[in-house]
Amino acid sequence: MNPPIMMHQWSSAEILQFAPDPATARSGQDLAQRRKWARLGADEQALWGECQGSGAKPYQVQIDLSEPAFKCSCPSRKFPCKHGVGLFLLSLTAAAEFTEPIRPGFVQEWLESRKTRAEKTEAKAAKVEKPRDESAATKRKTDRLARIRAGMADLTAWTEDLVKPGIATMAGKSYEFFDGQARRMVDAQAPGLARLIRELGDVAASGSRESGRSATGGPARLWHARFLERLAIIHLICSATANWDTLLPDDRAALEAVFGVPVPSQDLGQLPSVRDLWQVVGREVEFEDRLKVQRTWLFGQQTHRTALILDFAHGTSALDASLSLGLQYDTELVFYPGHSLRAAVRGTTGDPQRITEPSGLELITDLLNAYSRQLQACPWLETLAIPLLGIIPTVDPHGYAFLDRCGESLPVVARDGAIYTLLAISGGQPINVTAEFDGTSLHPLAAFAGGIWSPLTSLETRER
Amino acid sequence: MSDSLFKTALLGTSQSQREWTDLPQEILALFAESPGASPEAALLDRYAANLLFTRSGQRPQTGLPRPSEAPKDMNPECTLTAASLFLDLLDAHRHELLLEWLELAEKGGLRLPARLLPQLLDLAKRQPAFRKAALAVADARGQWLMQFNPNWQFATTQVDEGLWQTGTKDERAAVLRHVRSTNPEKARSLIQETWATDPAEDRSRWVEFLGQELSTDDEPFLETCLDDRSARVREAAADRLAKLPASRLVLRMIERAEPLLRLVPPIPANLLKLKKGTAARFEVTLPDTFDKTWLRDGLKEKPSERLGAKQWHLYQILSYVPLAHWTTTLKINPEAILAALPEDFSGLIIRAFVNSYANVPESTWTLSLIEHFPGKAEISADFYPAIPVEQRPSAIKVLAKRADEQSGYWLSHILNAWKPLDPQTSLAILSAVTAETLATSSFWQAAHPTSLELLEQRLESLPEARHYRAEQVLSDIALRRRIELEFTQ
Repeated sequence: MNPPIMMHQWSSAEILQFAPDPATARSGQDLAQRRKWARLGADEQALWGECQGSGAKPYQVQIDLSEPAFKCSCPSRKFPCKHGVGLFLLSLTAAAEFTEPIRPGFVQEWLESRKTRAEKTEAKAAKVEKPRDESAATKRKTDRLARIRAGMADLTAWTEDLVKPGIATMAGKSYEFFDGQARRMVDAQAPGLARLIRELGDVAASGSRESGRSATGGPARLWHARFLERLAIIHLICSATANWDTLLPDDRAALEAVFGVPVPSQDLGQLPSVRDLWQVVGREVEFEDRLKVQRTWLFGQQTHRTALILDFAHGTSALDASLSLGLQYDTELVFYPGHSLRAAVRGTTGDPQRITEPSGLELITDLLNAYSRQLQACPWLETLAIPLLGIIPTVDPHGYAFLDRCGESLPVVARDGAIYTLLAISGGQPINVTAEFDGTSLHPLAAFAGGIWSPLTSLETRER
Repeated sequence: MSDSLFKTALLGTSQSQREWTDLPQEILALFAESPGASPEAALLDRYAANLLFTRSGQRPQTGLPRPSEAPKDMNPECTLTAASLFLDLLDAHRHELLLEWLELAEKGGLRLPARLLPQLLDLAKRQPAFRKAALAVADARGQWLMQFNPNWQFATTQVDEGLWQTGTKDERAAVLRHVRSTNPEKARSLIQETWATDPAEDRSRWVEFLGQELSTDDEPFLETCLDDRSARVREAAADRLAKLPASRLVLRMIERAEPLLRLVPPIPANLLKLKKGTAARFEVTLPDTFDKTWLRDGLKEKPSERLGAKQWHLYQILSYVPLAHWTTTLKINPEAILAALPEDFSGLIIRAFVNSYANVPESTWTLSLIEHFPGKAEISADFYPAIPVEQRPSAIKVLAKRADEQSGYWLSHILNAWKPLDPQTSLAILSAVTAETLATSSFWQAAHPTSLELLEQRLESLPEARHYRAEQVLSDIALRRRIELEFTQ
């Protein structure tokens, strides 16, 4: 076991990921120069500095390293702003210049206010059993489920109408055709199904792009199969909903999860937790209009369980950074009901350690078995991410693949950039890669190289 | 996957019969009791069941061969800081600094971490000038990686000399450039091989290639090129021959020049001072007619600048005469020669001398030429590369004295011709040029690392109002210093 490191040693790449957009990252890097700063200081909990901006007074910039959290007196609405990013970066290259040893007043005040706020939140959390109108909450949920079940009956008819004329006709369908049905599902309070229907529409749209090539047979069959698979799963959810009254509580929970019904934190509090040394093995951030969705994949060193932690942020607000790729946390996770991969950290994460010995699965067969078990628990499972140890990436005329030490393999779908990075890291030798499996192919997320897990996606975006 | 289910779904339940007997037994059994409310529901539920059945039972593929293993790298890996600096520079498209990074890494015998090799090879693909250093820094792993991406084949393709006979114009040029650098004589014989059939445009281009590694061995062939029917070829050959002071062309030019420029010796004042003495001076005789044999030597009859025809002929002939000819035959120093030029011709003649200097540098002439260069006219950019390194600091002093207000012009020529600068020249420029000019030039990039600190001080001293551009340059300098620090530690 590794000695715990109190303060994680940040790399500039990690720091830059805090920047809300590329422009802030850019200007932050410009500000990471000693000359730009009038006053610099640090102690075991915080960094602070004064940066001359366009105003008369220099901006007071401070970072609470425990999260990290940022504060700056500049008027920017970006969070963190370029000054925060710049100060953080500067601390890597010019640590010796942070000479002021005693916290100035403004830092002390801020840290104290943060502490009080944290205590208040904790106190609030401790009072979980604060008088809650249980019966009203139950009624709200019953009403919502009734509305959803009505919406699902409507959706059942819609899906069945699609196969009457045959799905070959789907390629010509407009965006509005799918979007209309998706909106009806939002109205029925099942946003999760709205997303599935929109994705179905995306496959149909890719079909109309491919139809030019359909004479060759190959690609046309591909999109039809993809479309049909998604449609069949949506219909399966409809059929399961129709059997609602005969379902076990866990299966109902699995349906509620796919509908997109939120789980109240009080309910999560009641569930048992799983303690393990949880290793953060993959992270993706997707942008859906102004919503940022962060998917953080964890793998338990003892339990070999996969957990998915979701975080959402609107606009320029920052995503949760309490878990970092490449670090491991001795902590408890609560899994959402309904055989879900989704989990939440119970309490605080505790001190992170750098992962030096990655946990994972070594054989493709083991990955398929894990996937199969998860699929049996939740048939509408979308993907499962697992760190694979000692696999070899290869390229052959048919595409990319990961090969395990027994010579068994699965196809890989990734952008060229990610594949070449993996090949470069491997040099034909076994390497460790976290990949998401969707039932058909693997999608690499992160690679363990030079003693750390690095994201493949961000390396790739850097190419542009 | 069941073909019959798929077919029904594709054509539609209204078109196709329900006959899905090719489903696995398990699925058939599952639906034996409940055939389904409608044909559509029956189809979709069976499809979903079959999909889950297949997916939960799927086995890995087998039979894929292991890829070849990359050979061991030769060099140690650069530091993490150096690697992240590389990424930052790449992100910011700082190509000039990237090249410096690569060259320093190559010099230090370091390699880039493997995970960054794709970016490095993409960069080398876009920037041919980076390839040599990039390949060194990519090491054995990089060489191995290149086989997987057709875009990265640039380095593995050996120069195929057969392409000289069969290739496109650019391929042939690449062969010639390569062969000339390793075996100059062979390059010349390659040119001669296809000379009879190459069009004039190509012939003149090949002759230009002889400028690399030029030596007296090339003289006989270049001399024959003067008989070419194309003027372009003749001029290209004459331009190369001008750089060989012992060539027959240069000797003919000297012969033509001698009657045109005659030194009248000084007349000492007589003892009684009844008559004032005169200093040595030149008598200029413009050529009477354009001798048609001059055409062969690349001289042009019609002026290509605003000059009288005879002056133009004089100017061209003098441009071909090595400056050493005047100092050795007349036995006086450059300063005296330049002082003796008649006023109405001195500008023209000095410009011709500068051309001659660019062809055959004569270090004894450098400073005098700059000092006597006429008025505010700009010195030809070809002049600067010819100045030997040890004279550059003093050349800058003279240049700065001559035309301070024009420092931007000569500075940009010098930076182009001399970068990267040696320590003394860097310092000389720093003390000769104003801080504003330093801030607006690319000096920060060409400067020797030892003068960067002084440059920072000069820029910091600029008043606030003129600081904008300096700010940018200062942060660029900081980056440069980070790179150098990284590789010198």
